Amino acid sequence: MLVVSLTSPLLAQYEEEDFHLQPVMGVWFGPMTPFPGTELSKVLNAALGGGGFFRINIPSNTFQLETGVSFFTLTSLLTERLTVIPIYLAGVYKLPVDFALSFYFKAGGGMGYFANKPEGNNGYLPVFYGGFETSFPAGKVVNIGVRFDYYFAYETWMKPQANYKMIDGHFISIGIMANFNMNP
Amino acid sequence: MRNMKKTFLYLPLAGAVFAVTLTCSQVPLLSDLYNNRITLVLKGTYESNTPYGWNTSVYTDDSLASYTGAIATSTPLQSNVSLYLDIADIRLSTGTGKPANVAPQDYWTYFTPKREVFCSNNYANGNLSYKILSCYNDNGDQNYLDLFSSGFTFPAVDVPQTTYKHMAIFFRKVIAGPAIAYSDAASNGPTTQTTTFDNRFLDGINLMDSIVQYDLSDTTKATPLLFPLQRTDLLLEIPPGRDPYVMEVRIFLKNLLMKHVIQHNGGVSTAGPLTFVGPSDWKLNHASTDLTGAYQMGGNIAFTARIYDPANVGNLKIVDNWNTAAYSSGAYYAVLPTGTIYNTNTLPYAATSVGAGGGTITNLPPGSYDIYRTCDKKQWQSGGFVAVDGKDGYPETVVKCDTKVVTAGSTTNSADLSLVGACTAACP
Repeated sequence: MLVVSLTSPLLAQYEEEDFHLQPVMGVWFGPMTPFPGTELSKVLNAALGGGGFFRINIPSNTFQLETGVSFFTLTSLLTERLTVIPIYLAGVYKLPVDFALSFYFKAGGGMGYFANKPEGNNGYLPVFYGGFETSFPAGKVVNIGVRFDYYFAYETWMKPQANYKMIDGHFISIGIMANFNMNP
Repeated sequence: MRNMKKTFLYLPLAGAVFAVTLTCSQVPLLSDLYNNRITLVLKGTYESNTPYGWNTSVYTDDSLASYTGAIATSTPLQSNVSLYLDIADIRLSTGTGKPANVAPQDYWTYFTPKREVFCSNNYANGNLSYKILSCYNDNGDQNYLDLFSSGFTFPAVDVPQTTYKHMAIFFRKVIAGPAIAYSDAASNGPTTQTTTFDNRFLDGINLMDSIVQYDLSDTTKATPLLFPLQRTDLLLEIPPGRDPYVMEVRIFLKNLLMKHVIQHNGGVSTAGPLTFVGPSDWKLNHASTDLTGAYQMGGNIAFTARIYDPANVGNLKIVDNWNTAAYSSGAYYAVLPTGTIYNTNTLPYAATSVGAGGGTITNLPPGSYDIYRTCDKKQWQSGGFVAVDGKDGYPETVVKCDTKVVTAGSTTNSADLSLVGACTAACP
């Protein structure tokens, strides 16, 4: 369907317009959880968090750039806590379909700030990011939508110690989002 | 608007530069959550090393002497005693008692993720190999064997690095059997008492209902012990750094069981005395004829805890050429770090059984240790705390034999303690 959409002559007119995509800023909140089945999911539970992002135009009618940050503190019933603050830069691809809903696919990376308990260590790890978003306009300025984000926190590059299993972090979050057109 | 658009174009670029210039963490941040430093070892023995085997029979309370027939004479063989333990959790706190206005979550550090069961798998309806399937499926059989031999590794997660003074072991159930009620003091009309464990019927009574729930001095039964097992005077210092460590918790249950009698004539539906198995009354005489106090034996299960780094420990071999027959039951060798005072109301830092030629205490952090010999030479009777050999299983008498320095990674041999100082004599 994607291929059909991209090659459809009906969509050719989009290329003639300059920057029909809107730069937006948005905020969202929702739950984050370690990806089910991964090592961290055996330790940590889901928690509510949120974030914000900017999406700006680049000279393209299907691609934009997005930067965002979010904040979560994953908890457990016992002693473990993990504060997760990913900061990412991602390319955004808008599905070029003429429909009330807009669909965006995102991929990118950045750094994540992590603080753990009970060990009490904190610092930055490389983070890879993938996301999907769908929204619809609610007036000229406001759009309302949902977003699905996946963060891969890369830690296995560190040298493992004896009797110690190095793991990576896989996190998913789902958010209810409001974003605002910056160029209405 | 054009300018604004440009501003936003620079924002992600600035963000990217910011992200790249951050230094990656040099310590694992996620893996630390998955890997645990702690190993929590739970032992049901006075000894930290080489525990004695089970006694042949359980001890009998002195109050049984005033009864006749089966009440007085049928002492259960240890192998016929059923013991079913259900430990909900073990918890720690830096405080020395929870104030009423502090939420439990704020006071306690919960670090054991799941309940554990320990089942002796005897008996019900006269069936000595009665198996509670749900307990068996939860590995309760093996847990029981481990608890009373080398130790049971209780699942646990890491705790914040600090010093803990308060530890509580939350027993949900302690079932001990057999328990038999009689219609009179001459052993007529015996009725086997039953209770439940994991929703299955079982011969015995739940000691947690009252027996170990109330302190013996609490004559009004006003204050149930929050946990029958808690201590607020521990100094458990979690070692700093990232190395693994062991938290060893010892609960004295093995070879401490005693047959008791409760006279509750007309008190409950079964008029007459009730015999049951429980911890011995080594701390204060069991008031078997007191309708209130007879059900109160709280504080008779003692425990202690210590922490060691398995990479930084040594052994102490205790050499003793006394003929082991010279010791009555309840004799142990105990060690305490030099400078600490022996308190006979609690368990020592580490201990071993007295075997032929002595025994070895392992996993001692480097340092100087006082070696003590402890013996069971006293018993609480209605007449008071009297000198009598090997009657309650708890070693109340202590003599200091020697002091030895333990170094990491090696075994220090004591002198032949049967030739040293106060230990040249038999148990005091």
